[in-house]
Amino acid sequence: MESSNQLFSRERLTGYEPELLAGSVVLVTGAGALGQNVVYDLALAGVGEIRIVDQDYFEPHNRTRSPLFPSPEEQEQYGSAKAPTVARKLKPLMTAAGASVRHAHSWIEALGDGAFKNVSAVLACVDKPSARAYLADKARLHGIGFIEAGFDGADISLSCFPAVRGEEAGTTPCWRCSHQEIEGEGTVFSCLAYARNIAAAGFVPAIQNAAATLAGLQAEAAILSLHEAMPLPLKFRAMDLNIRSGQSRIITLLRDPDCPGVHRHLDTAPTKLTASANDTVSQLLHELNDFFGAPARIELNPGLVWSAACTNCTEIAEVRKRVWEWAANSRCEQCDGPFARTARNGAGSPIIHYYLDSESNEQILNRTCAEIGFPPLAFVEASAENGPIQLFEMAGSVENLFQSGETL
Amino acid sequence: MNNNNMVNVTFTHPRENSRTFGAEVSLQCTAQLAVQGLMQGNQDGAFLDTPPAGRPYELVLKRTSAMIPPNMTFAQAGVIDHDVIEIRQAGQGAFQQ
Repeated sequence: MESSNQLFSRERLTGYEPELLAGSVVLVTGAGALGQNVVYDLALAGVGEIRIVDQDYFEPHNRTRSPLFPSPEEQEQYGSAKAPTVARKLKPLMTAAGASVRHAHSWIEALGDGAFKNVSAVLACVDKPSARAYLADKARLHGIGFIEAGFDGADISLSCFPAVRGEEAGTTPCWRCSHQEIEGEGTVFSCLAYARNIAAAGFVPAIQNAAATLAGLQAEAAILSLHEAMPLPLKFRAMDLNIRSGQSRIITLLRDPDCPGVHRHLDTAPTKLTASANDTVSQLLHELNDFFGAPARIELNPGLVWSAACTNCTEIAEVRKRVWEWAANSRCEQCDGPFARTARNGAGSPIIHYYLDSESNEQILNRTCAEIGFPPLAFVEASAENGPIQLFEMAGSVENLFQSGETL
Repeated sequence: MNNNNMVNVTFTHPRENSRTFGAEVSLQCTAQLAVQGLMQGNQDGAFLDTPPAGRPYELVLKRTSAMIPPNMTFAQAGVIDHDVIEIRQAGQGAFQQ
């Protein structure tokens, strides 16, 4: 069998430390054109664990820029969800000893903070601006490097935000410092509507050559960010490149004085709870009451949309989801959305909960924590008697959030 | 330059390199306000179209290759008379259609 030294001999010459890469965990959100190309590069380079998150399905037209597109037989056997398909096809390509790939057929927001546990680098390969903003915020909060990339036909762009901690988290630019049209908590756009808007504005969708080039740049930036001893030339910089002309430019990114993004690093670990995602909200509150020795209040950020008006017919729908999930498709079932109308048509009014306590709606208190947006390992912000907000972590493990590539 | 608080700058279009827009602007103007002004334009019409959601315009000071974030003033960004300010729209992620 090939020794690790032989296998990675060329990579060592470039400065890679295979042992370091083998111990790294990279979270890749989005398994489309860019995501597939980038996980391919990371797998071959010897990254030890790759986590893939995508809620989408393969469609026939994706094939021209999908190196891990499933065959008809594979689709028949395993389905066409992107994340599990890419994970299954990626696993045999991983070169690190004991490498693993995890996947979640989910929105990244639905996985909560647990998705970032033990992660060494976060890569945004998504189209939704709100998902990019979410990733940028979480990467900064958890002190993880964030590599963002995008493209418009033959024009590609990359921006790099290394892991920062302490004071530096507040003074250095984040991705949101220059992308501020994302207003409000968890604002999202439907993928389809978003794609239509972008196309209508004259922007060109992904092509494989652009995706592959950009993925190489993004993977290399991620690998450099994992090696603290290696310089990251694109640190707090953006790069634009046209893959046809070769024309490029480097832009220095600056901290926006009024950036709405997260500019702090979590310097103390949250208090671990025994309450799990399967426990009821009431049970969670009991544990928090016991912790504080007083009635606790749980902050909901983003808020919990209990009911809201369908954006198409304006009838009130029973949402029972966090704001981001409602905003992703804010229609009732009758208008091809996912949310049932309230029992009495025309009745009710929009209700959004921003906190929960023992006086909250009993229907909410009897729901499981997972149902109201606290998955395993989720962070819970709570306080008592107007005291400072403290951070807690739901019980659970990363295995509760992701499936393994081997178990498909 | 008319007074200490005003500068003449040239904006370049994000997609048509040959198109420029000259303007006298206050150093207290933020990037965000400048973009709004460019979307309103002048008697010849708007210099910039309203961008689609998720693709905001970004300003880059050509002399320093530094971005001017939306809430940063031209003074804070170090803009001086006769500077060229490039307008950029970063690419999208895995956008597929």
